Amino acid sequence: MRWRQLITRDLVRHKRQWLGVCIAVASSVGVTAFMGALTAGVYRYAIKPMVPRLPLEYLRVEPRTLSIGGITFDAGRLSGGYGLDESTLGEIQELKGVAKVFPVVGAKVPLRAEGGEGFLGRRLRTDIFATGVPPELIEDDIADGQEFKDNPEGPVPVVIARRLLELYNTTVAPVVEKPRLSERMATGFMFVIQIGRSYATASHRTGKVRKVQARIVGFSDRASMVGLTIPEATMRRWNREYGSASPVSAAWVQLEDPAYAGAVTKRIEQWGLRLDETPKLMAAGIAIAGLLLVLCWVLLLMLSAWAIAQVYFLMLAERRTEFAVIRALGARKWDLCRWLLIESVVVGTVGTLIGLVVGLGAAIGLSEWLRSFVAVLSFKPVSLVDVPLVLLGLTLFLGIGASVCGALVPAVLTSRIEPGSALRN
Amino acid sequence: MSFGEEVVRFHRVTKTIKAEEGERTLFEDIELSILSGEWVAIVGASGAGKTTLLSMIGALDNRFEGELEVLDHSLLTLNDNELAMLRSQHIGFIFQDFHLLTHLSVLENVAFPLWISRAKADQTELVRAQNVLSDVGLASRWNSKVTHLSGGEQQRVAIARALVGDPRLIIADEPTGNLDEVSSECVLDLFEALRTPDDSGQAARTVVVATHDPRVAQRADRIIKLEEQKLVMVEAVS
Repeated sequence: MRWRQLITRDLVRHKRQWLGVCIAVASSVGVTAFMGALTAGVYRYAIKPMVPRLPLEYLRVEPRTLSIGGITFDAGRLSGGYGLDESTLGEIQELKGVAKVFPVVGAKVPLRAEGGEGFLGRRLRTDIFATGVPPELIEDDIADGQEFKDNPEGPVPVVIARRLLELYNTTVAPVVEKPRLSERMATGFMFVIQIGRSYATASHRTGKVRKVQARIVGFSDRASMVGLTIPEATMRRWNREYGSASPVSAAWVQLEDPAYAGAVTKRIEQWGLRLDETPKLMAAGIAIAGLLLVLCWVLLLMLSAWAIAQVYFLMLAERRTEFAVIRALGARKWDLCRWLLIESVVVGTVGTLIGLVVGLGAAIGLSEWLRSFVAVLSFKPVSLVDVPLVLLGLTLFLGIGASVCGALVPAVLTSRIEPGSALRN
Repeated sequence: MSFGEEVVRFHRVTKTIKAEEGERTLFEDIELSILSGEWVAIVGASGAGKTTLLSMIGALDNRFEGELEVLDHSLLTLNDNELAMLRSQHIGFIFQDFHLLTHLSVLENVAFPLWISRAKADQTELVRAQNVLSDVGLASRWNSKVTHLSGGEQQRVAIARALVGDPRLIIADEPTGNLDEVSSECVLDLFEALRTPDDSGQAARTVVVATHDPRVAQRADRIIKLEEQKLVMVEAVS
């Protein structure tokens, strides 16, 4: 029997005190695992599907608008800045670091879509919004065998925002009890677009209404989130057909390198235009949540280390004479210190495993309970719990680290015990 | 080490300690020599510094002024690890309250100094501990819990623990303080026996005992009395 057996015996003998340390570790780890798993799960299954996976070299520019009493003004132009038109796009194109500018053309004609009886079981009619974009902007997202170009004779090619498909899969499909759709399954889906009529505005002033076939040809993160995305030329043709100009409602700016993002953004904002800040806000929110989590984690580490240190101080104070005797019998300071630290690692590991099981179990339980409510609101993510490896690593580090940190000072102080006190006691 | 060699040497040693009233000198400029094979009893009033003197001889305390050599080592030149090594390999301790480790068996208590000495082979430790237990008459109790032993038996386990490393110097603080008369005599007989070399050529051990018990002092070769910061009386008993 040597140190290993001595440590085992010691752990068994002082099991009540070690249980205190174990509970402190398990509590910290449990809370961390619980919070971490829920945060990671909410991010993965609820937030991330909402956030467009935009490449960093693309910026979306919009006019700064101001709405008063239902009337919308171009706030940027009113304040002496630029409006968003063809000349502004040219100015943006001239900025250093800008590779290409893609206009997003809005519809000036009412639109309505109908169809879906094959899939939904009944014909669905709804007003729609549509925007036109140059094919080069989303050509990488067009499905194999499909085309995204203006064709007056054939079906109108339509691209859908990926987030809309994800929203359908996570929100609509469970409620209407339809299967989730992959991009491949939805590609090629045909429906009808009525041009010149909508429920909101009735018929166009010209009274002209016609129907065209439309076909989904792909899914893109740069497609409109509030409707259909069709070729720019098609949209301009429709507007022209109904006697309207084709306003530039937004633009995509492709950068030569993401490093230019800061300078280009600053210049565009100086012109009174607005950049779509949704991804930025989302990223900031996620960063803040991550920071809060890390702060909580550090706080927990410190608190648990402090609590563990108190337990150690109490326990080691009771055993001062014993350690003095062991020192008198020939143990070095390092022998005692190592002994106590190894014990703290063992207890920390056990506490961590208990904390992980309890914390993750509680998170899964809460997730299922919440999901049972969320279903009523027609939003049901797959889960609200995720356990990435980094979370496991952090909790292991927290548990064992807190135990060792808490034991460190008491262990060092104990190892410095004067062996002569063994005689005096 | 044969009889008559110097095991402990104090030269102009002064020891001060921190007390409530400030620094207090326990003894000043003391000179003392203890030879191998000697049994020395240190006596004196409570607080005179017997235990402190014992701590210094046992390499537990090296904060003093002067020169102190124990087993050819100048204590002031040794660091903490070297002091621990010296204690582990050459000095055995017997405490008044036994200070046995209650979670270990009798045999494990005796083997404990070997486990922490890092110098002995693992397989021989328990065998050696068993032999020493036989020497103190506790061979049959090797597997007992120490808490199940009488005071005298516990002290004999403590003596076995002190002897297991085959130390050249035994330090005992009030070894009979918690024992009845019969047990005390038994312990004293053990002390007598262990400092006497046997026919196998075992080296002579030196025993230094701090005590209030006149029976212990009377069995010693020399009595050293601590009084008024000095070793005022060094008496040869036999």
